[in-house]
Amino acid sequence: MTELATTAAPQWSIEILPRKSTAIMAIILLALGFYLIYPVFLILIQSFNTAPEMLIGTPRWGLGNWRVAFTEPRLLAAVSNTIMIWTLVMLVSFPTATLLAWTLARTNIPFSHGLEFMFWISYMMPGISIAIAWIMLLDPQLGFINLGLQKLFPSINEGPFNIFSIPGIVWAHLMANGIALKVMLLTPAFRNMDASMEEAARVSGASDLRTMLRVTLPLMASPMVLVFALQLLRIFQSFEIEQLLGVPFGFFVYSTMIFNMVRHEPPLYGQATALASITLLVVAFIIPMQRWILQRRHYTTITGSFKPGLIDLGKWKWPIFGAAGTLILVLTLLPAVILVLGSFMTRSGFFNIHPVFTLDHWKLALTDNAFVDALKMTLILATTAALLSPLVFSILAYVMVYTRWAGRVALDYIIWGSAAIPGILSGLGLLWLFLGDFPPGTGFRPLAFMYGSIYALILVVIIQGKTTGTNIFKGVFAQVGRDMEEQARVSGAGWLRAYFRVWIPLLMPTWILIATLNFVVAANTTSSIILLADRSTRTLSILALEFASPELGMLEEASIISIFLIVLTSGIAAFARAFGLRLGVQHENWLSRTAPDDPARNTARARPQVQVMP
Amino acid sequence: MRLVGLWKTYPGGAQPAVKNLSLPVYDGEIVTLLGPSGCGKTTTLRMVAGLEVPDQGDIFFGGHPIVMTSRRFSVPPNKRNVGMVFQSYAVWPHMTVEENVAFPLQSRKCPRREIRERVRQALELVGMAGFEDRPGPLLSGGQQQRVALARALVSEPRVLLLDEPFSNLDAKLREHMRIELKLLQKRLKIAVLFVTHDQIEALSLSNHIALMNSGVVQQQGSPRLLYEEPANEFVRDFLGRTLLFRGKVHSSNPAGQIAIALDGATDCVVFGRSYETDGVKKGESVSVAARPEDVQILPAMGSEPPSGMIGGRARAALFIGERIEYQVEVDGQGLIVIYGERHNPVEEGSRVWLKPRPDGHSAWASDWSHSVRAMGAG
Repeated sequence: MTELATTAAPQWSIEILPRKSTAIMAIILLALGFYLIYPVFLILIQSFNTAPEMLIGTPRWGLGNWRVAFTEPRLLAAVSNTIMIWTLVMLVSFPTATLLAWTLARTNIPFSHGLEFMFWISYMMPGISIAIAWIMLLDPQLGFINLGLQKLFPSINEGPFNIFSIPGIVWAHLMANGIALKVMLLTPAFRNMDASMEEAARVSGASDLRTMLRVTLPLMASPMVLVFALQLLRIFQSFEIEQLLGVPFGFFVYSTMIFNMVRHEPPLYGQATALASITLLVVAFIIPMQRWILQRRHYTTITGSFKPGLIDLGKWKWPIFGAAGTLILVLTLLPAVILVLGSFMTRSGFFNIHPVFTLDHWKLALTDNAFVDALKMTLILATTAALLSPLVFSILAYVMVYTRWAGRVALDYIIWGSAAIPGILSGLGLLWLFLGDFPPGTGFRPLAFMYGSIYALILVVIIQGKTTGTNIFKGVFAQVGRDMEEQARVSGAGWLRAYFRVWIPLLMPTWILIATLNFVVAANTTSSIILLADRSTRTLSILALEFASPELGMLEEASIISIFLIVLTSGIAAFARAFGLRLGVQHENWLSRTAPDDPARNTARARPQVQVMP
Repeated sequence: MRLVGLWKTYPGGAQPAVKNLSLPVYDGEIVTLLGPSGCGKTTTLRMVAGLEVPDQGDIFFGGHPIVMTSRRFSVPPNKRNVGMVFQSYAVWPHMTVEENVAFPLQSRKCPRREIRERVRQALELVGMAGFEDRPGPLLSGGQQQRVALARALVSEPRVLLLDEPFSNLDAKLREHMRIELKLLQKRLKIAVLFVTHDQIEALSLSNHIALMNSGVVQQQGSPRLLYEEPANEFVRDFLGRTLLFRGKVHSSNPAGQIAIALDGATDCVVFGRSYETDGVKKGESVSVAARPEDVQILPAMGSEPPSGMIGGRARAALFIGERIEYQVEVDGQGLIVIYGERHNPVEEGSRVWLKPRPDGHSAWASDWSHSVRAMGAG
């Protein structure tokens, strides 16, 4: 023992010598700031640049872009359209999802876990695949449902449904993940509710209805508020559904507007940056609002060990199951079947040409270089995201939860704040970053090689999952408690050894969850990478968007790509779920087993444990 | 092991968690850090383990510095060779019992053959032989604690750190493990630093207790010293129960013995000492703190209490098994809770005589109202 003490040369520990941690933190903050925050500033700055050739010419500063932005009614309409679509989707999906989640969690509906599982599958299905499937079903001329109705009622010769309309866009959102995501988040929260609260109400003489109104709903309010706050971040995220369904009838939301301005010939960069800046202003209001909602203290509804008593639906059990089951089939199986059907039709919706069914599209797709390259690209991107994301985010979360390094709060703010930056905007900002000169004014373009390169896309798909990833890890770190690691440290393990021998095995389920989520997000994403990808780095989802666009109108090829996307995403997710992965809104268990006389550990936990979706 | 002048303030903490703490821990001794929640005892333990670094102060293991803040030097926890049992046990759920116990040896690059043997010995020591392949989560609380203990001991640390190791066990198991720990410690002759808020645990296990409050050691010494000669009111009221009588200093002798006449009694003088720095003066009003077992309660005989006793009326009697607690309205004193023997009960509402031990009490110059509050809180 004495020999150990003499041989142990004086070792500088991180806490005593703050410089090491400060340096690491500075690198983290600089890197995140450079790729997350700086591009946004570039957008703001460039919005004042009125030079026609923004990227190469000398800047001419002025308010011209902003004047256009505020006088051109289409631009402001794009922002208000965005909010309108979000509001309409929320108005339908929130009550529906709450009712569904309550039914799944608190009643004796048969196969509730199976249904919950199907909502998880539905959430993972790419929005673009769903949109394409519903075009095939509800196209006013060629949609299968419209054709069927026209056959049944010969008096109708067009419609009656039209997916290319505002109700059509709302419908596609609901079918994509408007409902599924909320059910997925709320059901576990409702399941974990402390049943003794309800039982206490019943014992106190309250009827079932009174119990629900006075006890259940107020208690459930807190997870619902949390989900609502998470949804606020998604206002400006949607892109592909509006691009596919809105653009053909001249309906623009801000994201499709920006995209089409950038792709315009010549590109309308100036107006795009002004519109982007307006959006950023709105987002800047949303972030503090969202944080305020999340940081208010909520009731604890978790007990864990308690098995809640389920409400008996009685004779309504099977009808309600039937309704929920039908909905979930419409959400998942129907689009999949339609896509398969459409991919084998010579021309989707044409049942009177010969032959009606053909293998040609499949033959073409599987031998088409564009398709094969996109598949490869998607696999590379998604796999890289799956491999690197958990490592990066677990370390970021560790720093935030368990160290007292200076700058942790800034890190937290960057990660939260940048979550609200919509994909299309971060794409636009990165576009400036890569193509513009750095440092500004030097004419030096050190990052030009990133444009159109796979590195740019890898960067984007990894940082895209940061908020979800770090927050889930933060929750798990706080839940597991640091004892496990400290025990390893006291037992003679260095930090790295403790991380690999203790943390990674303990985090493994979360690790796989984050890997799966980021795989799926990377495979599904369009808006964040569409401005950065070129012909050689297109992914399947971008290719599907192009094929399904009215200009190309190759719905059959698009449906084949969609099928691949569904297999890649829902397939992987279903597989992961089989290993017990789930995701939901939870609260910090305030009665955690933290020693009360250890303020260091308490501060790390004094925040609701929120799990955010990308 | 020696802790010298340790200070620790958490970032954002208004008060230091530990203030100027010095403590010797000798080989083969159990030293207990005792105190209420938030008194800094766990922080102190974590500083010894290396999980926290003090803002100021030094820690020596057998003459070798482990922490010297003046030279900005601190050995990281993995190089200190201490064993630690956490309050939660922290038995790694993804490892078996054997893997858990082997971990400290693997981390210290012990040869594989030796590991097997030493793990076996450690598990035998704590009575967990035969559980090698059991996964962590499939153990009961008591078994987890034994595994945690085996893991802490397997690398033959110079000091064993225990952070409230019994608080998660049920009462019966707690008593059992207490005895086992004491026996084990005697066998291994290892230094143990033990953190608890449970005074019974502290009194029964320790060779040396440091009683802490608000980051400051209030008194340290043998359990008997702290119980019988408390240095201040906090120590007096934290350890055991205290009955407070009012009285006047009658006389004092050079040896420090003070004779105090209790208020409300015609002839009841008790002897005690003052352990406060200022002491007490003749004629002054003081409080006399007596331990419950030092005051007897007897049924009243005659109209006036005999010499050496004080009268009162038993307002209520609470039977709590091993004893009876009486609320006694004591003449000239107020309500005082007196413990009575189960076999000689006194009737509720009847007059009683209280007979304090003639000596061995402590005298307190401090004001009466404060003492009452302190007692009420205890």
